Formats: sequence, structure tokens, C-alpha cells
Amino acid sequence: MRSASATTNRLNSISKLSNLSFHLILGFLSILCLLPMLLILSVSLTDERALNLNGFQFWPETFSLESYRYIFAYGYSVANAYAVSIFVTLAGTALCVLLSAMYAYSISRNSFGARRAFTFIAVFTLLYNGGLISFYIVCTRLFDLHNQIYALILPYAVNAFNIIVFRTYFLTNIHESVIEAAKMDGASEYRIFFNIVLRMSLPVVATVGLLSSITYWNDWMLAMLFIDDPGLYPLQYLLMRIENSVTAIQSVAGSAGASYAQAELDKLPVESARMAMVIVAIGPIALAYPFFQRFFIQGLNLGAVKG
Amino acid sequence: MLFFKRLKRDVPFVVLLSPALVLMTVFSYLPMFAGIVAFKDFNYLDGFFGSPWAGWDNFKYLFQMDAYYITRNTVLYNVAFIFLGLVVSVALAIMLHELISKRFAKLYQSVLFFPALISWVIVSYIVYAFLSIDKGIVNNALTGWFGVEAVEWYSETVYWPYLIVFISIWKSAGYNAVIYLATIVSIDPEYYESAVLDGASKWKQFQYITLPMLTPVMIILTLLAIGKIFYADTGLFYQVPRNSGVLYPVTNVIDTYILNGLKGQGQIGMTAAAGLYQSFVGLVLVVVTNLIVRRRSKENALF
Amino acid sequence: MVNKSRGTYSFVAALLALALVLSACGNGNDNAAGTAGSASTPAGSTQPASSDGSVQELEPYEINWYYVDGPAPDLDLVLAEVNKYLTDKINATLKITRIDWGDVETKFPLVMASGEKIDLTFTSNWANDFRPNVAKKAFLELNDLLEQYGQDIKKVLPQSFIDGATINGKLYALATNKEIAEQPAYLINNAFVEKYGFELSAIKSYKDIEPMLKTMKENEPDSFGLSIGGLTTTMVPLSFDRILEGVPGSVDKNGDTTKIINEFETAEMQDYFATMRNWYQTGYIRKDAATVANPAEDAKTGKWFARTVSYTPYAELNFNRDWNLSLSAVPIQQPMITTGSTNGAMLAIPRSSENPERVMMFLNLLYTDSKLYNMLAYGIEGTHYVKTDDNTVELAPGVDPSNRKYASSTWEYGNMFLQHLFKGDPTDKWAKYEAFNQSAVPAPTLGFSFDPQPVMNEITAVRNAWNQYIPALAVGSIDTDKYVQEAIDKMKRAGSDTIIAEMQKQYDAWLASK
Repeated sequence: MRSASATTNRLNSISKLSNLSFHLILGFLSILCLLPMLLILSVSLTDERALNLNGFQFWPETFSLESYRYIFAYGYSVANAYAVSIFVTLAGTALCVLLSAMYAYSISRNSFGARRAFTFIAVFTLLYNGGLISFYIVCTRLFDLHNQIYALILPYAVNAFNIIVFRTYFLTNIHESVIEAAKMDGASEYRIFFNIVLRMSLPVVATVGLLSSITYWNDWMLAMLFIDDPGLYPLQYLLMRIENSVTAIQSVAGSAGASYAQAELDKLPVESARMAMVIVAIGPIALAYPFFQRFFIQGLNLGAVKG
Repeated sequence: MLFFKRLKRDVPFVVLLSPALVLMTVFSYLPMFAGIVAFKDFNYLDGFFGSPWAGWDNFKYLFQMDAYYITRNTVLYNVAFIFLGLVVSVALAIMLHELISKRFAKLYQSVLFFPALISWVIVSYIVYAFLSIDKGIVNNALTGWFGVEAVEWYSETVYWPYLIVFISIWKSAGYNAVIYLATIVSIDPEYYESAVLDGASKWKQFQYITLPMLTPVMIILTLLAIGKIFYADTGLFYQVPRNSGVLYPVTNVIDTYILNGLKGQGQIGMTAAAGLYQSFVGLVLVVVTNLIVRRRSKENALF
Repeated sequence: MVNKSRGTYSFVAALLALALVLSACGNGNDNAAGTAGSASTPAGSTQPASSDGSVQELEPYEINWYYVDGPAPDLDLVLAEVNKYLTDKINATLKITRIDWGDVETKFPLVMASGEKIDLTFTSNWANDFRPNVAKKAFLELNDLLEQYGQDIKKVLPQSFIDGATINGKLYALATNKEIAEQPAYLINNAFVEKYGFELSAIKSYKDIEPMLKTMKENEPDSFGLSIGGLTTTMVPLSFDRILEGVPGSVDKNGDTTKIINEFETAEMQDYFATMRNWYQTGYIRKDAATVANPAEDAKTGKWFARTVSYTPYAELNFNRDWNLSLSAVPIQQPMITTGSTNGAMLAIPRSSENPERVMMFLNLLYTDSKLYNMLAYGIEGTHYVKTDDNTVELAPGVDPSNRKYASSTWEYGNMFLQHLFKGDPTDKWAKYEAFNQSAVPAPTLGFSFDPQPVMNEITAVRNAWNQYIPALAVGSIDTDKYVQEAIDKMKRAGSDTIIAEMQKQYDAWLASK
């Protein structure tokens, strides 16, 4: 089957001209996305004084590895933050994918009487939220999530957006006939879900997996709200804590007293070090991403009925 | 009797959805109850449930003097984001899929994704690096290579609508394209095979196979985006333009108005009122749009 | 037919499921709200303290203290030592939670509103905002507590600090004992002073710097004349005592001090804007003043002549340690004690505290006990710092600013004058501070607290209008002829006159009651 579709692909390719123009467009857009990263990289390798004199430049005026040296000696272990982020992302993504798919399966099945109601229940959470304060109170007073690693995982474990993405996929790609066939064979709904439907949904599993892993990896809000123990800081929080602090101190300098504000700023890493932190936080993800892509590009379409 | 039979048959479904349901209740529904503080004059002595009622007082500030232009800004920008974002993301997805060299497609896709990984604070530094008045890369190029005058980017309103739309799409197009790409990839190749046999051109294939298969996803994503139409990301509208007052006519949106007006005032009720207002409008719009979609094609509706 | 019953059925089933889940968590829900509500125990706490304060009769108590600071790896270590000492003194232990600078805006309201038991919290006019919190009855009244358990504090803390935190006769927070007045000043880079023979004593007000800026512009094209911008522009070196940030309404210190006026309509303010515009266009002010986030970031390069700061004794030393430049601080106004200058850093006792008496006892120590204060300030002797003499410390061997495991922002609590000097500080530093505090004159509005609630809607609109024009006008980056009047008009349309009228009303009442 694989070779059949490959042949068709070759026969069904776009024209050379189209291909070229696509390359040009995509190439240009890629440059637009790459330039900022290069800028950040350049700043992280620039000597701080040169930075103060000239601002951000694409090529470091004066080269310096000082920022990277600083980071790896900095207060809290960057490696530890990496470990936390990786764990939270893996656990969270797995949980999110599983739970969302399960919910979506139920609401996608015609034979489930209450499916419209439950769909609404899920969608409603996207349309109205009770605000940060109430969220905080529920998490810290009702349930004690303070300084627990679960605090970084559970709040994002269910996201109605992902549920809808799954549901849409199930509705359009899983034919009723497959399910009927399985039921004839006496399979329970659980069996159908885990063994059949899930297996047929790898592209959407990969998609939702990707989206939710990005959410988990990028998030620093949960850590800010619930984590005081530096041993549990995820990577992005380590970075954002500093960025936000710099912004905050600069904005209160007038009222708090310029010299106190300056003293506080001096305790924080300088600009090029902060950019180095961005590289350290994003770099590995950006480089690892191509490896996870194979699910999308290699045309992993196991088809519906062919199965 | 029928009721219980149905109940029994539905048990597996309920079991499957209950873990997610529990989490949704805890993290989304329970916090909703405290939203009533929007209607109260909150004080610490009486707490959430004891504080006196304030009726609609906390909402008034959202409808005074500047209400028209901030709401207009918010809505117009979101409409642009939704529409242009959709076109760009779908176009990207298709281009990536059709590219002959899969290795390049992989490369492009990865790079296009980068902006989604950068936080808005960093984006604001980058934009500043380009647009800063004396050390900015753009101004240096303008005065150096082109010999024209530098532009005071942060003081000229005319450029910013384009800049903001551009930056917003730059940040999320790659991310959204992934969703569309996954959808395209899962289209049964048999459709294409039979289309080729029937002699359909690439363009016809797109029109009659790809597009219809993408429509459900496009509709869903658009519907969800409509729900957020009164929301604006302060990272984009406050930090990137450096909260430059001169630009307010084109950068001040509902969320930045609230930030500017209530910063440091501890007005729990007023901020809650804003959230309620924004959610409510979004909810109404989604329900209405959903009904319209439902009328045209039942299966594409959100609920 | 089938559809209808199906619909009903589905809703009933859904509701049932939801109800089941909700009831499971239902009990908890009341608690959260309830605690917030029941934290209405009056200032007299649940735990009686012995009348003579003898330690043996006191029950142990943990004081939960929140303030703003970056993290310190050795915080627990230091706290262990502090708690040993504190247990001996008042049978209490400290639990410190530091809210990081970047989290202040978001986290403080959450922590306060969540009803958690907090005994002591930082508050000021820029973080965990003092006045709104008092209006929301978040803090306990301290008058009686101060009399009973904080007698020593009154001996140490100047009356103006107490006045600045008193609203309607009730004291709600204790300010850090530090510089009490604000005094706009220019911080000047001595390198250029020497080079061009500038006479610093000639600078008495903000305009006097102009000839020097001219010289700078002509001879030093690479350097900034006046390096201002970002949010340091809230400090305008004129004689207006503003009632509320971000809103017009001030008292002219040199004029009729019973009247609250719109300072933007005065000739003095308009002249200031015109001057700034002139300076900006001529190039005396850095070109990016309107957008630069922190003009101090390039201070180390030394390519600037002057910037604005709030004067404190030896202010120049605070900066030159890091910038490695020789600086002078030249005041351009009289020192004034304003509500703003006294509200810069304070500690309050939230309503949720269960033993305010003990907290006040702790505060009493914080203002008088040098050993305690310096432990909190510097850490553990030998590990974090060493003493070079009775009153001076330096970092312990092996410790330098980049790897310090403990540091603390002492300006946020207690009596700063207790703090040991750091090596290199002038020995008369605190004496000079005391003298500075004595010489300062209270502003007419000191002690007046404006309640913004009646005009909150107007304030939001006016603030947006303010942000649109004033920061740019204050650095001269937009055209004064066009925009000053536009700004005034827009703020009026937003309700600035209503706000000023309300301010006048409350001010009159306060003046009458004095």
C-alpha cells in the first residue's frame, strides 16, 4: 500500500513551477521566523558593554561567552529546571491526550444520548472562565496544590479545545461502519476506543500531543502561582521570572526609589545573559522538533476502512 | 424502563469521559462561582459571599468615554487575525504538504514554528531592536543604505495596524498550520487516487477534496476564535508597542484599557466584571454563529 | 417524538452527572468562601498574650510574612538561626515568603484575596497597594497594638511616617525607617564636570542645567545630555504635590495649600513641557526617551551627563558602586515629606492574622533589635558575611555579588538605620540620613488620604487619557503646542474635573477635622 500511494504521489505532484514558488514563499517566511532567533543568539554572545552602546545587532560587536558562563553558574540549576520541565511536559501531554481523547470519543458517538449536553459542558469552559482569583482560591484553599508538582500538570490536563479537535477528527474520519463491525464482534466501547479508534487516530494524537506539549513547555503561569520551591521551577518560569522582574522593577523605579530599584536590578542577570537564557530554554526544543515531525510529513494516513 | 436501558448503555461513555469531567469541574467550573464578585463591592471583612451587592456598578467603566474605540480596535483586530490567520495557516499547510522534497518541508515546518516558542516579552525586545529610533536596525538601514530619514516608529500610528496583524500572524501561523496539516495528512489517499484517474487537476483536487475535508476544522477553529473576539493579548498590545501613549488610537484595546486604568487599584470587582463582559459577548456570538452553521450543515456545528 | 425524549433524557443525564461531581467537591467550596468571610474576627485576636509579655507564658506562634524580593538559596538556613533567636525572645518563629518582583502585580492580589492566614505583609503605593487595601478593609488597625506592644517603635519612627499611613485617624501600616522625604535631583557625571569646568552649585532648579546641556551637545555628540525616560518620568521637578498617581489634581506647595488644582493648566507646568520639548528637539534629551524601558541600562558606558533621581544622602554612592563612575547628586527642589514619600515601603497586618499582638511584638524588635535586623539583612556571620568592625560588614571570603546565597531588601522593613554599614560606605551615612529627615518639611497634604471609590470610573478613563499623552510630553517627544491642550481636554472629557471636585470635597473635610 505504501508504494502504491508513493507512486500516486509522484504522478500527482504539483508542477515544477508551483514547487519552486512554494519553495520561495516558504523559504522567505522561514527567514522571517529565523531572523529573530539569530538576533537573540547574537545578543547572547555579545559583550554587555557593547550591547549598551549599540543595542541589538545581528553580528556581535564584541564577542563574549560570559553570559553562558554566568547561566551555568547561576543560582538555581538550569539542569534541574530542564528535568522538571521535561517531566511535566511528558506526563502532562500523555494525560491530556488520553483524557481529551476519551471525552471526545464519548461525545462523538451517535448512540450516546447525552452527547450534546456534554459537548456544551466542555465548550462552555472555553467561553467563560471565572477569573484568576477564583482559580487561585480553588487550587490553594480547596485543594492544596501549593508547591506540588501536580500543580504544574493537572490544570492543563483537560482542555476543551483539544477535545473538540479530537471530536472533529473522530466524526470525519472514523466511519460508523468500523465501529458497527467491531460491535458485531462483541467488542465493548472501551475495547473499541482503545484498540481501534485510538490506533486509527495517530495524526490527531500527534497533533494534540504537540499542541499540548507546547502549552506545558511554554507555561510559566502555573509555576508563578503555585511553586515557591526553587527545586520545582520549570525552565520557562526560571526565564520569565527574571524577565518579568526586570520589567516590573523598571516600572516601579519612580515610586520605590531609583537607587533601591537600581540595586534590585543589579541582582538580576544583564540583557545578554537573559537572551542566553532564552536560547537555552528554546534551543533544545527547537532542535528536537524536527524529530517529532515525522508523524505529519511521512503521510502517516493509515486510512479509515483499510485499517 | 427505556430510561434505564439507555442509562446502562451509556455507562461506558460516562466512564470514559469522567476523568476529564472531574478536572474540568475543578479547574473551570468551580472557579466560575466566584465570578459573582463582579456584582459585588468586595471587601475583606465580608469576604466573597458577604460583601454588599453593587448591581451593575462595576461594569459602568467599560462603557464610558473610550468604550467605542477600544471595542472597535479589539473586534477589528480579532476579525483580521481570524480571517487572515486562517488563510495564511491553511495556505502554509497546503504548501508544506505538496512540496516535493519532504526534507525541506520538514525544515520549513520546524522553522515556521519557532515564533510560537518565544514569549511576548522577548518579542517586544526584538521588535524594539528593529524599530528603536536611534539604534534600531530598520532606521539604521533607512539612513545608512537608503539615505532617507529615520522614522519614529513608536510615534506614528499609521504603521501599527499592519505591524500588529503581521506580528500576530507571524507568531501563530506555524502553530495553526500544524493542525491543518494533520487534517490534510489524514485524508484518505483513495480520494486523490480516484480523482487523478478521473483526470482532475491539482487545483480541482484542492477544490473538491482538500477544502471540503478541511472545512470542519476551519469552522471549529473559527468558532472558537469568535468566542474570544472581545479578548486581546496584552503581550501583543501593551508590551510590543511599549505602551506608547501616542499609539493608543490604534493599539488600545479592552484588555489594555483595563490594565492602564486599574493597575494597582486592587479593584477585584471591576476586573471580574470585565472578564464576565468579555466572556458573555463571546458566548453569545458563538451560540449565534453555531446556530447559523447548524442550519447550513448540521455536522459542522460545535454543539 | 424520539428526538424530544432523547433531548430531555440527555439533559437530565448530564445534570445528574454534573451534580454528582459537584456534590463531591461541594463541601470544600463553602470553606474557601467561609474563611474569607469568617476572617472577620476583630482586631482583638483569639490568643490572649500575657500582660507583661513574659516569654514563658506565650504560646508558640508562626508569623507568616510576605514581602517582595528575589529568591535566596540560603533563606531557610538563615531563618533557622533567626527563629532560634526569636523563639527565645517572643516564642515566635518566622515563615518568610518572598514574592518575586515580576510576580508582584499578579500574585499579591491573589494571595491577599485567597484568605490564607498571613500575619505580615509588605504594602506600599506601588505594590499590594496600600490605600485600596485599606478601603477594602484588608488590614488591621494598629493604633492600640502600637501603644501596647510597639512602644519602642514610636520612639524610633518619625511622626510623619505614622501620619502618612494614618487614614481617618487609624494607623494601618508601619513604614520602614529610611529617608522620609522626596527631593528631585540631578545625578551628574563628574567626568564632564571636570572636562568643561561646570559649576554645580549654580544648579538650583531644573532649568539651570541648560547651558551645560548646550556644551554637551556641541562637544559630545556621542553622549546623552539628559538621560531620562521610561517610567522615571513620573518625577517632575516642580512644586506640585499630586494626590493620586496618573490623575490630575495637586496642591501647589508654593501657593494656596487649601486648593486642589489641575496642575496641567498652570503656567509652571506648561512652561515645563515647553522646555522639555525644546530640549528634546535640540537634542539635549536622548532620542529614545519615550520608548526606552530603562535608561539606566546604558549608564555604565558613561556616555551621559545628567539623569533624574530622588535625592538621598550619599545618593551618588548607591549608583557609582556598579557603574564605576564618579557622580554628584544635585538637588533641584526642597525636600518634602509627602504621602507618596512615606508610603514607599511599609508593613501591614492583614485581617487574616490570628495573633496580631505577637506580630506587633516582632515588629517592635524589627525596629530596635540590631542583632535580629542584621541577621535578616546579611545572613549568618561567617557564612555570608564577616564583620570588619563593630558596625561594618563585608562579604565572607569566597562570596561575591554573583554567587551570594543570601541577600535581603532591607529597605522594605523595620528600622534601616540599624543595618550595619557595608564596607566602603561612609561612616556617617545613617547620621546624614537622620539629619536629612529632620530637615525635611511636611507637605500640606501629608496625612490626607483620598478615597478613590466614588470616582473610580472616571479614574480609569482619565488614566488612559493620561498614559496617552503625559509620559511623552514629560520627555518632550511630542509637540507641546498641539498636544498639551488636547491632553487637558481629553482628561476633562474623561472626568478629571469631577475627580478634582471630589478630591477638594474630601480635602476640605480633612482640613476641617485637623
